Amino acid sequence: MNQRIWLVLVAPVAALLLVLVLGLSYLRARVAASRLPERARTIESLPGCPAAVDILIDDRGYPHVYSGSDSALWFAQGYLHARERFFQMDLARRMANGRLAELLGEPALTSDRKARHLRLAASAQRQTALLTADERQVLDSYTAGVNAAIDRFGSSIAPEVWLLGVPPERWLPEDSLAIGLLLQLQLSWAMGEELQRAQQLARLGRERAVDLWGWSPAEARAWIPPVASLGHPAREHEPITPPVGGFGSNAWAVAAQRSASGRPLLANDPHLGLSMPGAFYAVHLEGLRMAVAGASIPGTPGVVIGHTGGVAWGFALAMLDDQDLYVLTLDELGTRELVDGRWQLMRTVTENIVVRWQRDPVLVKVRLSAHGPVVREQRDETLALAWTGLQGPSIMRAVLGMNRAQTAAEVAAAWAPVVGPALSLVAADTGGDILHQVVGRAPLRGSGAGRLPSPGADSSWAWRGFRPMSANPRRANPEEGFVVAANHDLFTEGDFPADRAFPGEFAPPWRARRIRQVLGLRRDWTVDACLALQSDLSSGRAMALLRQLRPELEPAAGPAVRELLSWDARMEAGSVAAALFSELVSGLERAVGGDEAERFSLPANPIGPEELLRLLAGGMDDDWWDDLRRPGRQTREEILAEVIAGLDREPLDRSWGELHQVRFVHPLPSLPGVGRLLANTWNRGPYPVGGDNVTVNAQYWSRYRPFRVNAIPAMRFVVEVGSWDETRLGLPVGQSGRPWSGHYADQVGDWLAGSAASMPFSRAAVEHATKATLRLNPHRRGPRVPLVGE
Amino acid sequence: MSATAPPSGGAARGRSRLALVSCGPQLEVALSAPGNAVASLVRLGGVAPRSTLLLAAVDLVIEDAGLLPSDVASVVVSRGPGSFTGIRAGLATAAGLAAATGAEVLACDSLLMLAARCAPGVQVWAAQPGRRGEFYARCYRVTEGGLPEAQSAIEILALAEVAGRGPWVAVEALDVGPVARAVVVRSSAEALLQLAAAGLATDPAEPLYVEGPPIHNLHGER
Repeated sequence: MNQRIWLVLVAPVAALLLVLVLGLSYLRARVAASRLPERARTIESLPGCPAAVDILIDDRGYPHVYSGSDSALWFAQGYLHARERFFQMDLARRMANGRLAELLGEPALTSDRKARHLRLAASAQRQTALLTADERQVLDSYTAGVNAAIDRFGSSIAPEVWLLGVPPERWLPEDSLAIGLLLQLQLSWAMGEELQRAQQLARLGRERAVDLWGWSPAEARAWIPPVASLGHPAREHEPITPPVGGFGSNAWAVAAQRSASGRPLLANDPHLGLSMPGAFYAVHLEGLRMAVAGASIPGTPGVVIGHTGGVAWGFALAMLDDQDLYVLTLDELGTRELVDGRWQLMRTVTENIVVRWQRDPVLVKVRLSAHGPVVREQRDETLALAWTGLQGPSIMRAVLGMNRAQTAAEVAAAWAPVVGPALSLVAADTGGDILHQVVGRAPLRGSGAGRLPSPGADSSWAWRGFRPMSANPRRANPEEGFVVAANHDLFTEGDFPADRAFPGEFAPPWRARRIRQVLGLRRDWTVDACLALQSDLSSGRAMALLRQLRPELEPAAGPAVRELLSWDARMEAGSVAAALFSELVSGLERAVGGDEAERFSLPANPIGPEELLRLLAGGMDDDWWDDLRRPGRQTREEILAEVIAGLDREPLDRSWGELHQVRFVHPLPSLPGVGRLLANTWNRGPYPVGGDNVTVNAQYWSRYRPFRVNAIPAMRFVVEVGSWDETRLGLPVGQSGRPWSGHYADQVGDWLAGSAASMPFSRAAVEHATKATLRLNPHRRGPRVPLVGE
Repeated sequence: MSATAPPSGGAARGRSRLALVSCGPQLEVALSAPGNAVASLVRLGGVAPRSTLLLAAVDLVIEDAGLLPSDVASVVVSRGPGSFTGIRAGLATAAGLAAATGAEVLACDSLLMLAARCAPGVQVWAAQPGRRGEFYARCYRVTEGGLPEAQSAIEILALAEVAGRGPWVAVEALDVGPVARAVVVRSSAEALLQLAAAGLATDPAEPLYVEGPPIHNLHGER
């Protein structure tokens, strides 16, 4: 009997497990050949390789690439990206080109529709035609390197590719440009903010909406356009990105007079959405005419944040409003739009999306208005998008210029021809100069400031070109000895005079203020001190809110309130008070804005922590305190007393890190079927983390999913200018995107601890750190790809 | 927001031009309005060039421009080289439309059409899929005015022979191996419209086959 039970119940499970283990072992063995060496010396002969390349791989898997030919350097970068991150690159190009459903089926259809409506592939094609011969040559060499890896390894190039069973398609130069545009899209948010504001205006009424936004009467008069109110909720397939609010990065440069060594320092930690693998890939490229090291974007050539032998640079978003929505007036058939009293035919492009495991493709029709592609077609609401991503040359022009620059001024000049994205560039060079320059170009608007959807039928509201980069804010070698960019309002915080101002949706000033405060305290800054500042958990917002709430908190002195009152406003993972504070703020937001959201059917609570602070300080109408869900009129005192009393019902043994955790999720396990079986193997976390949306060590969470971390410092980069071997560059998870690589997740511990790996630069230091080598030789009989311009 | 407007068409009536591309792995149909601006475009990748699908795409571009089939003054069609079935589907559709509406039919070599997709001032090789994994190819110089001039006769090339030449222009779905690609600035159907506007689409409306039909013996072997 027992034997029968064993046979019926246990044997199938054991067999299944055995099949799974054998299957994974087979997959691991199958793709092992395409892994980069981690402890070996390897030589490969590659068709298409323009010249010999030596790649020295250090203990974090960072490749240091040397060749006598620049073309061979770009080729090698493409080859390395493909071997380490091909699945990530393939997902990114498919997402940009609206072809993800060909790989992942129906779940990816919404993403594909959005990309097609935004015309990312068409814009990449347009940018290809604008490439200079030099840019084209770089891109062709990079593309040849990616394709050399595809040709060499086929479906075994990455385990995910083999598992999904779709052979890798040849890489095209347009794919790299499309990935650049996808990144630019992720750095643009204004259309979502505009639509949210339009809905608030329609539902709350002008007076209350203007009070919520904190606009002066003059601003309201100038910025609210004469259009009918918009109110339809967003549809899933509409490519209007939801407002994210407050995302950004930290970048600062410290002048020689404030550093311990007498050399300038530069620090940058860009904040991006969680991804596995991370957004950046570290690389060092060194040839006869170029030496550059830093972070690259898999799928695109060059180093986006890093240093050459003369200058280091980093970025934060400038928060410039580079997207505008236009409300169109269409004829009955929807084929023509009214512009200045004349009916104009809109161009229409119809394409098909091939959906895997589905017999019929899906048709997508995109209309192109005078302002840009139509992004919303709902009954009587048609919106078109004007966006800098659809204008001007590729960002590649700026990247290549920076990679060859030797001074801060040259790095900035590389951006002059580029329209977008708009970034705060921070640079420091061996000549001792430090610089903060806003790059990217602001749209020239005939009317308004792009804060709300504008009338499409009136060309006086249309874009009339772009402001030259020379009109942007620029600050070199300031007296205080440092420059700081942390997505804050550069004009109200005193960085730049108001005459250089541009419309933008700036992040709250807390990170910038904290960085400035701490930088100003010392004259002995070092690389380690900058890394420590990147990990700072002090919350200026918590201090300001608690200062406002103190009169109400002190009389209430229960155990939770006592914990809060004795708190140092540091968002430590182990802090109970940090958890209580976050619950208190969320509770106040619900109490103040939840009733308006409900009563007026707003898609989100209009009250966030910054509005709460303004309300507490008396900068908003007291009507917000009234709870519209209850009879009578509630006062500030009543609402605060209720929420504070509720705080004592929160557990006193729960730390912030128990609520606020980060989890690195590989994209494949989120798919049904075999992917889920891999989840435990390929995901990492959850890990408790400190910080929040306004600490220098920014660990963002969304109001839609409280406390779950959704964006992080996607890299930590600190250099002492000139002492390049002391450079630190840390990634959140690891360098490799290959799940069984030793460098897949070997940096998680460092990242959680606020540390960062070393990235040597001199040949001697690189050789000292080298753990493996790879030499690429041109294949004698293989064809060499002729380059355009040759 | 919608508003009452005068009827569509107007100036476009009777002066619009339709382009059909069905001889390769991507089906394209485009319609130009007066002034040669492309009003509407249908691009369908990875679909069989069925004549029903082609007709549906024609209906779609005409409807998107707010016109009627009778408003189309001329139909310009790619006549090969390329897919045997696709070429015939395109030419038959063009002939059918002409019979029904009185529109003029213009035809154009598909390799010339591909070269016309490129930015001006370059020498390019245009490729269409041939039989047995080979390519039909021809070299062109694209003039500063954007019009291509043939530099060679049509050749039939194996994949290995493609690698030594370039840059290449082909439809996106065609893999011509690890070669340099030319910069393209318009779709194939838009290139056809440009050639027609420049007076270069004047071939007879007959299929252009580089090779004769495959001959099979009694055992089905070539």
